[in-house]
Amino acid sequence: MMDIDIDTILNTAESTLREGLRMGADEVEVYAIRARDVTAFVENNSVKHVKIHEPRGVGLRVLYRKRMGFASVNTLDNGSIGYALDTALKIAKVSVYDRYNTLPDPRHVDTLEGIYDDIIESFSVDDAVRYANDMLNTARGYDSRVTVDSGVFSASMLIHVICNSRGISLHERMSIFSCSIMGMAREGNSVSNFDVQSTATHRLKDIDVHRTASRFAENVVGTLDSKACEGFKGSMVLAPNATLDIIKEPLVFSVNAHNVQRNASRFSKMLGREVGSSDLTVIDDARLIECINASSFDREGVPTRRNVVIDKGTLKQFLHNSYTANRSNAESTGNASGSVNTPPLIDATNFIISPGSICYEDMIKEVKRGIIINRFSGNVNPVDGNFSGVVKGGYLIERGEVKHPVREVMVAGNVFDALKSISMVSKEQVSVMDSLLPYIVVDGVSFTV
Amino acid sequence: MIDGVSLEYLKGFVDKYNSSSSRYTEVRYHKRILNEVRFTKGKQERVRSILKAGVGIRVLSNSHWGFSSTSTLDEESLYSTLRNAKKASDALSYSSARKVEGLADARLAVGRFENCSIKSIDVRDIIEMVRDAEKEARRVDIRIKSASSFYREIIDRKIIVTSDGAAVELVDSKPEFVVTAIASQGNRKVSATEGIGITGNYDDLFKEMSAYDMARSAAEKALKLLDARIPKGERTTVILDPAMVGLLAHEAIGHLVEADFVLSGSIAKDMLNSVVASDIVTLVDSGSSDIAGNAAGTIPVDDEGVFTRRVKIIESGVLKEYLHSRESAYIFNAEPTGNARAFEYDDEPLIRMRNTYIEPRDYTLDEMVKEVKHGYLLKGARNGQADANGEFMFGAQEAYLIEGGEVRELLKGVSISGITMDVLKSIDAISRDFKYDIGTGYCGKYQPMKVDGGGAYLRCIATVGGV
Repeated sequence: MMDIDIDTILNTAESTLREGLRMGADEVEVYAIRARDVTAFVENNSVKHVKIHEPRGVGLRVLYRKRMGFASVNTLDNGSIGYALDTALKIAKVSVYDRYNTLPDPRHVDTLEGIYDDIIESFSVDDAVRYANDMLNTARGYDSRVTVDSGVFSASMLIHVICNSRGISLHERMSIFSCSIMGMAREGNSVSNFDVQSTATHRLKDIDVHRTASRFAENVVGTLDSKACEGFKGSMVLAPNATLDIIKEPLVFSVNAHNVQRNASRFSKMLGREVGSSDLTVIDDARLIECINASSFDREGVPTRRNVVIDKGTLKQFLHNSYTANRSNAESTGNASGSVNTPPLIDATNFIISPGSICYEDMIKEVKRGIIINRFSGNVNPVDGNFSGVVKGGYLIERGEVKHPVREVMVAGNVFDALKSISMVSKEQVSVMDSLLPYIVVDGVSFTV
Repeated sequence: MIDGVSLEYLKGFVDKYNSSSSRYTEVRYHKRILNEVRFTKGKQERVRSILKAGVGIRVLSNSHWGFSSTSTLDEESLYSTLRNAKKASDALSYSSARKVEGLADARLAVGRFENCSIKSIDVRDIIEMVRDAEKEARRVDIRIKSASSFYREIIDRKIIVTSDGAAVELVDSKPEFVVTAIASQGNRKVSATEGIGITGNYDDLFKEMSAYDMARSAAEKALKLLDARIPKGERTTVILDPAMVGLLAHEAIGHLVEADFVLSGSIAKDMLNSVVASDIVTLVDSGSSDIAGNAAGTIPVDDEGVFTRRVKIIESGVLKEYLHSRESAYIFNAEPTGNARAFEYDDEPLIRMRNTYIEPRDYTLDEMVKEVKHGYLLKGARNGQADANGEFMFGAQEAYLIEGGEVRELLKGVSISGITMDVLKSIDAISRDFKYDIGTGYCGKYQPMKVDGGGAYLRCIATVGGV
C-alpha cells in the first residue's frame, strides 16, 4: 500500500546531519516519520466518511555552543529540510546557553518484536468501513435506544527514524489499529449520559470492536433511568476510564523529572517516601507490546525499559529524558517523547497500575456506601492535586449492593490524598489505549448534588 | 512547498479535474507557521518553529464525502490526492452510510481577506520578553518557587477553491501569551495562570495588560490561593466573570446547537422557537469580533469558503438557530452560517464554534453582588465539557465567597455543573462590562480549534463541586 524505502529516509537523515554540521552546528538530531492512516468516521449512527492520510515530516534539533534551536517541516524534500535546518540554527544562535544541552550517545537497543503487523500493508478503506460498521452495528444491535454520536476505526502504519551526530541511527516500523465509540441512549425525553469507549492494539487480530461497542452500549443503556441521590461522604469506585480522567495526569505529571526540576511536582522531595497506600504499584513499561505505546527506543534514540515508578506505595524513581537526566546526573529512563513538531519532552509510555488481590464482585460487596464512577468530566489540577467535576455513568452502592444509576452528582477531593486512601485494587485489569488499569476503591470522598 | 501555491493554480486544477462524476470538489491549501518560545524557571525550555503546509481535497461523489490530503503540491500529487478522496467516497457507496442529499446555497467568498498585517518580529526580542516575564513572576515573592511563560503565534495562509464558485485567499494571525506561577509553602503547592489569546498582531496582544503585569498578576493569584480553602459543595447562586460566561455560552449551549450534534440527538433537538433561557439572555456565535476587538475565534470566511455570519442562537430567551455547515443547512433548510472549520490542511471541515458570547445588559457587578445573601463569585476559566443530555460542567480558577451582599474570602477553584436549561433559565442579572476571555483555549472535537467566548458578569444558579 505504501512503498516506503527506509534507506531513502535514512540517507536523507544522514545527509541532513552532515549539512547541519557543515553549517556550523555543534550537534544535530534528525527525527523523521512517514505514516499512512486509514480512518473511517462514524457520525450520527452511520459511517460518515473515510479519510486516507499520509503524514510525513522531520524535526531538527540543533545545538550551537550549548544553545538549542528546533524547527520542523511536514515534508521530506531537500528544499524544505534545508529551510528547517536554517531556521533551527538561526534560533539556536539567539537562544540562551544551558550547559545541560547535549544529545545522547548511542547505546545498545533490544529490538521489540510484535509491534508491527504486516497486514497493515494491505489494509484498505473498505476494510476500515467494514470494521466501523461492525462496531456500529454491535452497539445499535445491543439495544434500539442506543445512539452513536460519533466513532472512529483507524489503521495506522508508522515508520520513524532517529539519527544524531553522536552516532545514533535507528529506525522502527509499527502498526496501530484503534477504535472508539461515543454516544448516548435515548428513550422518549430521557437521554443518558455520554459514554466513550476506546481500544487500540498493535495487531489487527487483537482488536475487539464488538467488546468495545458492547461495553459502550451497556453503559449508556444502564444509565438511562438514572435517579438523583443525596450528597454524602463515602467511597468512589473508579472504573479504568475514570482512573485515566482523575489519577493518571497528576501522577504522570508528578513523576516527570522536568516538573520535579522546576519545582512544580508535589513529589519533588519524596523519592523513597510513601506517596500512596501499600496497594498501589505503578509501572511505566514501553516493553509491553499489549499496549500501544510499546517501542524499542524513545524519541531521542535511547533504549526503552520497564520503570517501576511506585512500588507498594513507595516512590521509586522519576521519568527522564537525556536533558533532565544530565541535570540530575542520572540515566535517561527512555521516556523522551513527542512528535516531529517538538523537541523531546517527557511522558509515560504504557501506564500500568498493578492488579490487586480481590475480584471486582467481592470488592463491591465490601463498599458500605459509595458511587461507581465510569467516567469523570471535570478539572484536575496536577500541581495541587485538587479535582472537582461531574460523575458520568455513576451507580450508587449501599451496603455492598449496586442500587441504581445516579445523575447530576459532583465529586471533589485531592488526588494525592486519594492515592493514600486507596483501600482496594481489583484483580481484573482493563487495557485502555496506552494504559492497563484495574478497578480502584478510594475511601472518604465527597459527593455533592 | 515553502513558497506554496497560488489561487490561480488551484482554480485551474479544480476546473481541469472536477469531473461530472463528482457533484462537488473542494480544494483547500493551508500553510501554517507556528512559532513558540517557552521559558521555565529561568531556563529556556524550547524555542521552535513549525511549518505545516499542504492541500486537503474533499469531494462529494455518489452522495458520499471523501477526503484526502497531501504535503506535496505538484499537479500529479494533487491529482492522486483527488483520486484518493474519490476512492474514500466510493468505499461508502456499498455500505449503509447515510447519504448526503445536497449542499445548501451559500454566500461563497471570492477575493482576498487579511485580518492582520504580518510583520516579522525578531525572535531575539520575543525570547527576551518571555524570559523576563517568567523571571518577573518569581520576583514577586520568595514563595513563588517556579514559573513558566510562553508566547505562541499561529500564522495561516489559506486558499479555498470549490467547484461551485468559492475562490478565496485568507491571511490570519493568532498570537497568545500565557504565564503560570507556582507558589509553594511546606507541603502545599498551587498554580495560577494569566494569559491572553487573540486574532491580530503581536502589538495587539499587550494592549490591555503588559506581559510583566500578567506575570505579577499570576504570581499574586497563586500566593492568595496558597492559603485558600476548598469551597463547600452545594447548589447555590453564582456570579460568573466574562471568561466563565464565555465557557457557559460555549459548553452549556454552543455544543448542543452544532447541527451535527443536533442530528445525532442532542437535547436541543426539536427545541427551535422554545424558551430555553430567561428573557434577558441573547446568546450569539459570530465569525467577527462583535462588541470588543481581537476575539481569537474571528474568521471572515469558513473552510467551505462561506462568508461567516452572526448567529443569534438564543434571542431574548428563545432558541432561534443552530450552527451549520452547508450540508446541515440543507437538511434543516436553513441559511449556512459559516461554521464549517478545519484545523489544519489534513483535517476535513467540521461544525465548530467561533466567538460565542452572551450580550451585555444593564447591571453593574456591585449591584449584582449586593443582592446575593450567600453564593460565590467565580473567576478565570478552566476546562469545560458538555453532555448530550444537557448536563455540562466547567471549571473556575478562583472562587470568592459572597455573604450578605459582600465579597468575602478567596477559596480554591472548583468545577460547577448544571443542566443547561435550568441554569440558563435561572439567569437573573447580566452586567454591562463585556469582554472576550477564553482566547488561550482550544476546543476539542476530533480536531483542536481556536475559539473565543465572553460576555459580561452574569448571575445564575448552579452546583458547585466542593468538599
